[in-house]
Amino acid sequence: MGINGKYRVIVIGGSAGSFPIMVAILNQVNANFQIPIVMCLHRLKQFRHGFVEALSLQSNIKIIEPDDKTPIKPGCAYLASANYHLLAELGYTFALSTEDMHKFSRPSIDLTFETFSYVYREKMVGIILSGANNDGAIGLLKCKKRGGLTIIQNPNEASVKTMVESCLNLFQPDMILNTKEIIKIINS
Amino acid sequence: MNTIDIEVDIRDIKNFVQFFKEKYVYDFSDYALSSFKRRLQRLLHIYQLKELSELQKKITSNEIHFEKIVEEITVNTTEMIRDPGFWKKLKDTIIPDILKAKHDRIKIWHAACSSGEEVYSMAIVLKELGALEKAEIVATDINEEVMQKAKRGIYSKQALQINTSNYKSYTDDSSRNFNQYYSENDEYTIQLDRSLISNVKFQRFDLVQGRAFDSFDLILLRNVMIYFNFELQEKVTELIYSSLNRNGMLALGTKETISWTKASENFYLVDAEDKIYIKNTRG
Repeated sequence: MGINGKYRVIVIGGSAGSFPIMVAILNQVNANFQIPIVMCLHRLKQFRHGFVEALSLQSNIKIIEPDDKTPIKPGCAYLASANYHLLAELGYTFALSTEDMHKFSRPSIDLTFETFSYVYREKMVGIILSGANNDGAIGLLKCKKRGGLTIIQNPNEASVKTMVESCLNLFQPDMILNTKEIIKIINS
Repeated sequence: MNTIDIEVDIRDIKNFVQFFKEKYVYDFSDYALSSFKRRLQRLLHIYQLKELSELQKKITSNEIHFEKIVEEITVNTTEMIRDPGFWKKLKDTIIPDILKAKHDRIKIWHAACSSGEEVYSMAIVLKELGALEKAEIVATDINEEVMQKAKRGIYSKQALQINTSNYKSYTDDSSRNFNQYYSENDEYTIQLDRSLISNVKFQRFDLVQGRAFDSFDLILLRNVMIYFNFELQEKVTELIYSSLNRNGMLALGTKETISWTKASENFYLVDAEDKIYIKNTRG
């Protein structure tokens, strides 16, 4: 069974080492892809600009940093802004927050995953990529508990393994995949 | 148990909001649900409770003071000179333009000043423009306690690195440094120069229930609207409109917008990057 038709949102978390994987996904996703992709990637708050542009260079779909209350729509990829948490609201809009950092991070992957899994339940695909801390593991577990599909990047491929290994320490995700396989699943 | 693992049911949230509104007059019913729910989870975590009904009991019996709850529900994380580019714009163009148009006077309202970091940031900008004495400044917040912190001007050294680097990004003048605005208070804290806020009028004001009480040339409401739902954003945008002078300006947080509100028809977005609006007085 493919992703399209069964799921309504793909949420991707990553930190150190995730950027090239994210670029590969965006460059190879089908241009008419109809599920919103939400990216929560750790980033330095000083650099408000440049990240969207860098991801967009050869991306097949439009990438935006959503303002508060932006409707979550298909055919678009959304990037969490620097220095804000990116949450989902019932009614399928984004909600931003400046509350405390979580696991030294704002945006925090746990918070994005927790709120998206709350809103989308079994209609969410959660993907954790390479990264240097354990933010995201509890969030992905939440996704699993609420019936979503959970995927982590293969630790053998991830350039920094901490984030995906933290997931494995908590539970067994549904799939452990290399970048190519992740792209294949997304396009299925 | 981690905050994130505490489950809070929407029905329980509604009951809690109702209880709080009836008993303490604070109305959180139009707060944005996702972050409000997180605040309640956090409260349960702080007090090591499992359910909101337990929290309600502790508030009723005064074991936990309700003002403490208000303080914890509203998000009070903020920095000095958060988004340095924004403060630079204030200094380079926005405030000088207002001063010019208003015969060297300016009225400013910090509409949710929290622990005062932005009040001090603004005072620093004004002082560096030689305009601190020309400004009439009102700072309000829903929570008295947190405003006391603003008045005392004592802040943790933990934030010093961020604040210093924000200041550096903001200023053009390499001879200036953030450290000219504070002295060491003790091992853990700094004392900001309180002369900066000597003419700031602090008062309690609740954006949910308050009405326009004065009119201003510049209103700062940064990273507050994100905690409100559509209905409340609409109401607050109208309140802001009524509280602005002709050509008065409104600054929101960089990722906030009033574009979803009907009242936004009465504003022009003059700076899309830093979400600065001007009141549209035509028509």
